[in-house]
Amino acid sequence: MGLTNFLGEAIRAGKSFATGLSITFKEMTMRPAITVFYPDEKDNVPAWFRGIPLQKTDLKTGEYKCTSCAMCVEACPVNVITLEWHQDPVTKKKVADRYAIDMSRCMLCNYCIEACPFDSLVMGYDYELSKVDPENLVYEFEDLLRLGLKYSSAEQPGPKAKKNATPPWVFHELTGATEADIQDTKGFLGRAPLAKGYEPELKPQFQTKTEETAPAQAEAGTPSGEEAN
Amino acid sequence: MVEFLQSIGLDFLSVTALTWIAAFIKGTLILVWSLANFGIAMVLERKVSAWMQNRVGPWRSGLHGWIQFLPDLFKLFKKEYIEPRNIDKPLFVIAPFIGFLSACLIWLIVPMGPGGTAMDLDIGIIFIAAITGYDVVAIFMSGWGSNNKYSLLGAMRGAAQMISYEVTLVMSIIGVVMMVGSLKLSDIVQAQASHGLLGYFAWPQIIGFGVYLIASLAELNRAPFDLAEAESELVSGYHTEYSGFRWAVFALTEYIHLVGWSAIAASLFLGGWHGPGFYEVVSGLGNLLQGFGAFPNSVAGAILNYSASIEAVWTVGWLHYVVGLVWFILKTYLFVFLAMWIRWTLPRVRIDQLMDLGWKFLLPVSLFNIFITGILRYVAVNVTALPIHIGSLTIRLLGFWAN
Repeated sequence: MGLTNFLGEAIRAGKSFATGLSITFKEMTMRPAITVFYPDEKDNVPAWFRGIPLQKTDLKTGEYKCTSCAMCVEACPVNVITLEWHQDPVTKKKVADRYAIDMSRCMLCNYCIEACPFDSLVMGYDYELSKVDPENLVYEFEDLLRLGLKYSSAEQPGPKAKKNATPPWVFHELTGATEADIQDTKGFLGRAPLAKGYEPELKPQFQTKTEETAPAQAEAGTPSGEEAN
Repeated sequence: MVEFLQSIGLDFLSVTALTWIAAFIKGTLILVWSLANFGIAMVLERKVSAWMQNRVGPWRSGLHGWIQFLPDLFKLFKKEYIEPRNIDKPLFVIAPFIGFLSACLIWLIVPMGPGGTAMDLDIGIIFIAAITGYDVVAIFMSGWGSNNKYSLLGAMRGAAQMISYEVTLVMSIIGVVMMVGSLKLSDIVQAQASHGLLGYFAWPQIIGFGVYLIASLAELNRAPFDLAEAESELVSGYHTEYSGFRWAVFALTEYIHLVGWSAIAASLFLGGWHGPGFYEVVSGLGNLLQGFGAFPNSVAGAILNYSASIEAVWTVGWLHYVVGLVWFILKTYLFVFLAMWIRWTLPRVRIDQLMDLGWKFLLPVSLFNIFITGILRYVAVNVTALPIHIGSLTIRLLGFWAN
């Protein structure tokens, strides 16, 4: 009893030991390394990747798709989307004055994209979003539009489009938007770098009562703007 | 060494002075050799672990990261020495260096070639067992001096583990000592020279070999027996509170110990520096071609003549030493690789499993090995007129035969 138990245990231990060793040896000799040498070469992100929310442009008309409906502003759980708009007196359409996303607080939850009724927002595939100055993490409307150009398409992907199809990078070459656009760590993105201690000029409707002045009132002649954030 | 110094023109100095000079040179060589081996083993460890996990490991420094240990050591060298409050300062400071000393001392008696031993002690094996005790002292000193519960727990585990496995380790070597009849490592290596690959003590002492491998892993505090520094339980065990170069000395100790024990294993069980050099290969090929004298032919005769012509160069000259060193390093690193392979395969055992394995399994098995070695040796030595049959042949093949 005792000895058979002893030997059986020993043989069982040896067997499992040999199995483990053979597995690691096979991994070592048979399988190549899957390492991606990151700064030198960049891996493709999966199709469901959630990067920075960007604004698309309709490449047929050349106009941006955003209608300032503020659904994304409503959906945003952390209130990082700032939207100011006025109504065009002629066409009676809303025109965005300022659309900005504060990426320092954005948690990339995809809710704004889901809320967008005009398929205007898209999540970018870029992941090198770090900046030297935190002020530069506020992406203004023109930044978002410029970066969103490479995700814009002339035609909407129909409901029958394949799930794993190539993402709409097709206009990458046409628009000339490059990876460098989003990877400039200084964060200029088409505008001049923000000065140290920069404070955004407040529109009249955001000013507190004491700061409110008569000329500001006169400038804000258009109907009410909406504020979020 | 003294004779060598005299032969190169230092004979005007007294023998005492030459002995001191020789000792200094030997010590320097051992230190350099240990540090070189540390570098290779450390990078190799990271590389092997990376290969087994489908990574590439260190890649940026040197060619594919193979000199990673230099920036690592430099970084640790210029780091701050952090000392916790209420430590036992003398113990805390001196502990890593005692461990380092005990690791380097192993290299004193390792035969690296014909006559290539720093100190060919008559008590070789006992010397190894004795200096291993220093490592227990170093670990316990560092754990006790750190004023940290994790360190102390790690140190107590380490001390218990190393003391109990020391017994098993020595018991597993005793089989080899019984085969040779000498504790001297150079004698042990020489005894394995006669039969080539079959003469290695790994064959007749296969039980002792296995026990030695397991017990030396436990003695080295290496995974799967790294309970003294179990990261998941004890932060980092006995060297939790160390930083900077003192910590680096612990890392040095670990790898120098690993290579040292592997060198001892190679000497005891795999024939040390004995290996086929060019001469042995050629003469063996000639012998094979003529059927070991059964049907002599001209090609085999030419090869044998050629081997006889190069015999002097390859068995006496410096090439002999080079081949010996190469074989020694190859065999050593075979064991180093084996230890790394096991480390990156097996999970850590529990402390009770460790003690069970040591006292209830390995110690009885090594005692059984001593028993069976004694019996077979007795038969082989005393019953000289044993007729050739299966049993006798087995004993002969296993190398128990006394010449």
